[in-house]
Amino acid sequence: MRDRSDEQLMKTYAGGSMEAFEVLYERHRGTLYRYILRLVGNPATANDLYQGSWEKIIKARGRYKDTAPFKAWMYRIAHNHVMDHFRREQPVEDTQAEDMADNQAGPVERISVEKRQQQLVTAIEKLPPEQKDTLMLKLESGLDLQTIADVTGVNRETAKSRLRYAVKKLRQVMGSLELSQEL
Amino acid sequence: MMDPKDRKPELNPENNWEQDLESVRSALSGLESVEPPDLLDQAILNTARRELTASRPRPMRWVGAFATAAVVILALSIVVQQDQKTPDLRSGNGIKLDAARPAATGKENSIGAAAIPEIQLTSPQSPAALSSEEPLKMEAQTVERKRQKDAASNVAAAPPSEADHAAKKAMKQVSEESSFRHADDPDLAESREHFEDESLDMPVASTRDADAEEEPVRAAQAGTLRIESSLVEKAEGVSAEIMLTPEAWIEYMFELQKTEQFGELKVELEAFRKSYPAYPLPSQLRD
Repeated sequence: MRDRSDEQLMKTYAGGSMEAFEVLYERHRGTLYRYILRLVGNPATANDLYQGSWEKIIKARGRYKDTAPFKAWMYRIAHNHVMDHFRREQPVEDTQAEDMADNQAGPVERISVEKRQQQLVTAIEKLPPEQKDTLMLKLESGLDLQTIADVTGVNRETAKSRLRYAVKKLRQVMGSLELSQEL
Repeated sequence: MMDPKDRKPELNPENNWEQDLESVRSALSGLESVEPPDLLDQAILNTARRELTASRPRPMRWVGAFATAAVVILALSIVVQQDQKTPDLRSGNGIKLDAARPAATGKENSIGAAAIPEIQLTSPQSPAALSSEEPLKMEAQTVERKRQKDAASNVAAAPPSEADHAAKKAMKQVSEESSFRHADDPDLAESREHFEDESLDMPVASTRDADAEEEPVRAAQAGTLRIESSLVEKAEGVSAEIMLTPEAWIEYMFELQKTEQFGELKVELEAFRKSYPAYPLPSQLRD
């Protein structure tokens, strides 16, 4: 069962095999969870959205066609679920930007590697949702640009542009952190 | 002024964004791998299992209950139907006269051949009720087969008295067999005796026509119990039906009176008085 492709496993699960779903879930649980967590930032919300995404995947198993890549199909469902959540929720003003600025301004020696990573995560969370979505799809799922474009419902160039802007901003944060560290 | 090409690749996102992406990835890879909580995993797996179970076709539990109910209802209806429609053989009810036979057979056998009157036991009830008459049908067929054999070899050539004797003998044999077979059924045995008492007292046909003998066999095989009486004969070749019940017999005699078959009516009246001496005749028939 474990040597089967995602597509085969999904079809097998749709045919009634729980074992196939367990293998499939084990393969994608981490990446999908991190993708959602990075998008929403809040673990409690991420848990809800993660569970909701899987429930949608489970309910939609009968409509899945193994001609389409399972990973793209799964991330599309999760993406739509998270976007629905964003639409329902009012955008919350994030005060962490000021915190990050304070941190950036702090003494370099206090910034450990762990803190640098944490600040990078914070920087990701501050990205616009579209850029963050595209970036996390790229980082967590490893999808190619065309698939990311399909998942997010835009064309390839738009997806590429969003990714570039996101990377640029993160690079700036990383550069400033490095610069602060060097200083 | 610094040329853009001289800038560090990581600071030139226009051309090196993919390298920057790798830098971000490597920076994030050091983070503790975040996993969904175990309870969340379990909840999702339970959901998947539940959905799978729910989507399976449910066993049709109603089929068993429906089949049981249907069998019970069918059995009850059969029992009730049999109780309601089993003819009362003891009283003779439910046995009626085939009124169409006498005239036809009388005409057929009027030239040189004695009439072969038949007793037609026709139950008006449902086929379920006929099951109680099944032994009688079988006996009738047996009688007819025996009679066919006997008639072919002996009876046709024999004098009338010998033929009568053979017929009576056959009937007695059949009745003995029947009483032996139905010894455990008092109703049938009593009905049988009643029938024999009446039928064996009747006169027997002296001669037989081969066609007239084959016809009852065919009728018996067709499901109608026709016992060739060979017990009632008429010198004129007019056939008569044996009335098993006084009411039916009287009815038949009324029919004869209406059709102005007075000769036959007279014979029937005599036979009736002989069979039912105490039964009051209607005033129309007394005259």
